[in-house]
Amino acid sequence: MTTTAFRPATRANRAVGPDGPQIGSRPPLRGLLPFVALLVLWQLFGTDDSTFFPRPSTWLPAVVEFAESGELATALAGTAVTFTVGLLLATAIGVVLGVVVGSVRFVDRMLNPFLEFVRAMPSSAQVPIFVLILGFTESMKLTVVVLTAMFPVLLSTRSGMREMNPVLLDVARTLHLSRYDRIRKIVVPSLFSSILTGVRIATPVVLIVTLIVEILTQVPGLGGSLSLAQQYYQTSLAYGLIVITTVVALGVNIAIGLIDERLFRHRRR
Amino acid sequence: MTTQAQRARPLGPRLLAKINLPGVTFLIVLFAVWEAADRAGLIDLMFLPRPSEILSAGATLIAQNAFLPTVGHTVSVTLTGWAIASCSGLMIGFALGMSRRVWVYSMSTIELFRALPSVVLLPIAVLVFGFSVQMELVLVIVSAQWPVMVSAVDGVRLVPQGLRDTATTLRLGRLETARKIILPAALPKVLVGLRLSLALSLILTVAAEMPRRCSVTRRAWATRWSRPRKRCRPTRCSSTSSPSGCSACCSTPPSSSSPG
Repeated sequence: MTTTAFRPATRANRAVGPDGPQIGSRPPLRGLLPFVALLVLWQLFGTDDSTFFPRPSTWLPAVVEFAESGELATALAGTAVTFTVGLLLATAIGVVLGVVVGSVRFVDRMLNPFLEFVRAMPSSAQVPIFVLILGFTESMKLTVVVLTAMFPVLLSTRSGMREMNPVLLDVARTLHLSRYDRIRKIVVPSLFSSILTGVRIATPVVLIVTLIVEILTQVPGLGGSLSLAQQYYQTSLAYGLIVITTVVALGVNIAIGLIDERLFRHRRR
Repeated sequence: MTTQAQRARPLGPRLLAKINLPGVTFLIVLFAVWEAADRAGLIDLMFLPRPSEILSAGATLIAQNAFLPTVGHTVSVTLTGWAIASCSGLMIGFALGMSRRVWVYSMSTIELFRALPSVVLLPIAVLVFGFSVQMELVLVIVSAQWPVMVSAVDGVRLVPQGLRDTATTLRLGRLETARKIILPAALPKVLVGLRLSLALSLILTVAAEMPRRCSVTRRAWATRWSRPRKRCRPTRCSSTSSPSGCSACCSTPPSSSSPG
């Protein structure tokens, strides 16, 4: 904020940031005006018992009723578990594969068609396959999530391995660092930021794919409850759940933004 | 020397040289091992047939003329939705990027809707439109426009001030500026957005086309949340989807999740 005060001419550019609006961009809250207007109009002109567009005031009671039955906690827990475990697994597998593929050219060439094939498969199309193989289980959810979300981490780790500054490795040689020290002091720190970049891209993907799987298969989770609410024409509950999902997604986005700002501040300057 | 020799060679060997041999070999070996292991009885994957069985099933689908129309439907919905989403996303994005006032008074709303994982709109779309082409198109259009829109906003705002000044000097009108100055300068960013939204369109089309499945949870839900329903749309069990998907899931008892 202090820097923008000195350079009012670039304020518009600053607000967006060099890498897109999600990084360090704070559009003013006044921008919510159209959204609020929509909700108010909906509340004024809608009816409570509409099948498709129940008034916003009916959403909260529906969600409260849902929460009191304990279903909401189950749903949130289901989604949270898949999200966390999926993100961890995707990161681990992505980093290992990325390091292997990034350091050995032959392996890269060998695995490339296979990985590209898996990557091109839309996650929603993988769902039926893994439902058949694994059933409506947590492992099915995780498989689809990990198969989709590991690729950002893999690709970013691979390019990190490729683009590792050769001077750094020369420094290690000049200083006669042992192999352990070289990995600990040179390789890991220089890969760290590429891995984090991959994880940053993968995080929203994990959330979205988790919801896709849940909606398509109606396994326990936010998406599953949403899908069931739709099926049983509890439209207010469906809208309420969408609001909750949005809040969760916004929370994830904000968390990524904060981590990003803290870790990559030095790079942006 | 080598390049000349390559150039002198006929087309066939040159194409052959472009093929990623290790990659192809890996795939072939993978499928061969899978096939051999299954035939020898080393692995017995109940729901994962051999590659040869998958191939013959695919051939049967094509022969029955059940496959290509489905592909056509998916591709046409994806492309139509993507095209409409791109246009609307581009226009809204340009409005947001070029006018400070529009940006201030609506960007937060856009960010809010963009944060919403678009697939959660699927249940609402099904409610409102039923299982129809309209539902698929609406879902694709609503969700696939965000990447285009956001990248357009980005691209427009990052157009160098020098170019804008040129437009002012030349006394170009708003439309002219957008067409002749901003659009070319913002194009790289916009193209990135277009690519992202094409992938998203395909994912959402496939998700929207999937028939509802009966699951274990649905029964539990039905007993707990049984209320008078207003009206029922029949759940679609289309023959075009994977043939085993529907019948297997609807006819087998809930215990099917543990094969045995």
